[in-house]
Amino acid sequence: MAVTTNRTARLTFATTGGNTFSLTVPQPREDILLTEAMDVMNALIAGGIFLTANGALTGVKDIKVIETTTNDLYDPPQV
Amino acid sequence: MAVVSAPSGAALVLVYQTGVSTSGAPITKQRTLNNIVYNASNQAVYEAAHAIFGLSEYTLLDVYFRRTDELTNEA
Repeated sequence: MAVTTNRTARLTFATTGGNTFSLTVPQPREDILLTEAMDVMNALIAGGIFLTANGALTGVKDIKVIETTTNDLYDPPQV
Repeated sequence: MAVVSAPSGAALVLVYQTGVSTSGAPITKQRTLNNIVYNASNQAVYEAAHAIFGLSEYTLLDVYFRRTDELTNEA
């Protein structure tokens, strides 16, 4: 049908149990700054509302913006 | 015989707008985040929801804090 792109930001946190916990944000803004993302993650850690199976969030582990492009070649005919 | 409830878990449900349909109605999607502390304050949960969507182009429309209680029958 068409080529579509989809963008997400994956925020990965470290947890007290030594594991990771990640959160994806749909359609992050194009002009997103590292400092902004860090501030949000630090606010979430400080807020203390997340409690994973491997403990609370302790720190920022990784931040990625991931873009996937889908080329939809065929759609079944509409009845 | 009395049924008692006990905190079992909580989730944060985020409803956001991804666009507008051809008829002009908003197109919404929702994300559910589990692993939320049952006793978290409403203020903290609301702020977290808005902090997350501050990074997104989408507009956050509604925030639901879903607490789950388990019911058990105490003999």
